[in-house]
Amino acid sequence: MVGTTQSSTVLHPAAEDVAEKHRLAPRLSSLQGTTVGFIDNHKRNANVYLEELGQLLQAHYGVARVVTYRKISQSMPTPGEVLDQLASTCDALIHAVAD
Amino acid sequence: MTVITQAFTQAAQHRARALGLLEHPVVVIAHPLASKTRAQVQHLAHDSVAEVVRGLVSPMAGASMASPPPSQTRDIGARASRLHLSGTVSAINDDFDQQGWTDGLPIIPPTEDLVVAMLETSPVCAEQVLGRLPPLDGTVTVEKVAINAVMAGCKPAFFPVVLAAVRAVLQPQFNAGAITTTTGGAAPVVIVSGPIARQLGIHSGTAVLGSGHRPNATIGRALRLTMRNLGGATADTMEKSTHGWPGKYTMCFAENAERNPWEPLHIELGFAPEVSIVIVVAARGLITIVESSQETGIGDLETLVSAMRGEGISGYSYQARGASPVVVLGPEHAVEIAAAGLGRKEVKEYIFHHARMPLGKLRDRGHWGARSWPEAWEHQPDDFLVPLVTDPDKLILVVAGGDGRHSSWFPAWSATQRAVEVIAADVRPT
Repeated sequence: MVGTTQSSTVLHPAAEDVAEKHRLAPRLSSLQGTTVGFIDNHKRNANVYLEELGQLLQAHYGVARVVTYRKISQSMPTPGEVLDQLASTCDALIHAVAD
Repeated sequence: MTVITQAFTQAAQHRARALGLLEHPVVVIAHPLASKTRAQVQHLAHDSVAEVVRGLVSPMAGASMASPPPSQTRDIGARASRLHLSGTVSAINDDFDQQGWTDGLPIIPPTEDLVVAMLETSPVCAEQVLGRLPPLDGTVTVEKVAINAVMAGCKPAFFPVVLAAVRAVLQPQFNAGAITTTTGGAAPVVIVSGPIARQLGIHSGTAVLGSGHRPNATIGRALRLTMRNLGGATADTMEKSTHGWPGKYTMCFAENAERNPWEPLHIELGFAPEVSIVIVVAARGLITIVESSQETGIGDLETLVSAMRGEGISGYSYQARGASPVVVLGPEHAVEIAAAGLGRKEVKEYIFHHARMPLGKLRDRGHWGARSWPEAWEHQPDDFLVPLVTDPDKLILVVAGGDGRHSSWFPAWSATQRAVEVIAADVRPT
């Protein structure tokens, strides 16, 4: 059977979804006076990276405040209510660090 | 925006595409981060801050802030496309392999007649949407599952079990997306309990976790192909296991009803005797033990729990989520343990009390830096005994296998909870 030539109709086994396209949130004109949110994914050293990044953003780029949410595990999604709260209180949001 | 290490570049791109975010700004830093010194990590922050700022304040190169092109989304529950292929079965296999639709083993081409036959045993219609399967969120229709079940080699009679297993992994607490994207090598283990196991011939005896049993092999494989093809569990996209294990191909078995000295697993979990269920857990692998020297059931348990301890076992750092390790007692061990006067509850309590590690042994090893456990343990001394699970009922105890004084356990992958589904009745004979 393996060698038999045939013409077949087979059904597509994989996802055929076409993602609804989303526009990025408008980029900021400046970081001056902004609040930047961090989602720390709880991987080792993600907090070290983000602490340093936060200090640099505040010292050299005018960021007024940094807010950090640390996931309970890198393998758990950030809860929707946390995302909603960060989105409503922050001017920008950075997720780090997949490792 | 997202900051990732180099190893996750493809995964980030595919996930952003699945979300419809073609312009999502990503900053890539050197991998791995976890083994770097504090000073090295701080240096990476200095090196990348300018790129982070560019991602926040300026449009992406080539990206427009105008409206995106109109989306061409498919109707929910749309039927699968029909692909007209000519050539041998081998050529179709080559084509499917190149598309990334197989697990590396040959598949049965999912022709219309075979898929229709599979769907005849479905309690729900082909267009029924069961959910969207992370991490790439493909829409899971009953028809798509049937296609993958044909490819896996399932008989139509097995399909209700496959559907139950797919429904289980779609339960949110199972966390199917991270089971694919973790480096920890998680794979689903499907345990069948109830009268359907005998009806379909789902194997529970000799070499139960090995090869040679069509229902076991193909039901587990159908679930994995579904996760691959609808969830995006492929190594060039979202699959990030450092190793993985053969459960990534298939892992399905039943409890050995004839040689189980206790009530069946599904009755322990509160289901009626005539009901059949699947219990699906995510496991990091399989560890087997021999105990052929001890003469008592307690001796068997002592040896078993000694093989459940170790600094590198991730569960000792990750109890908060409530994952379920699975202990598979060989029938001879189970009978010896029962003869010692222990029931299912007592066995699980024994394991709960003895599968423990001193906190000082866990410090700065394994997943210590990312531990997720009860806050109170943070203040415990080094001789505090950390349990593998926070509650004996998180453990799953199954009696399965053939002759011989061997038992096994599946260490749980930790950011998950088990999922249970009832298998729809009215199953036709094989």
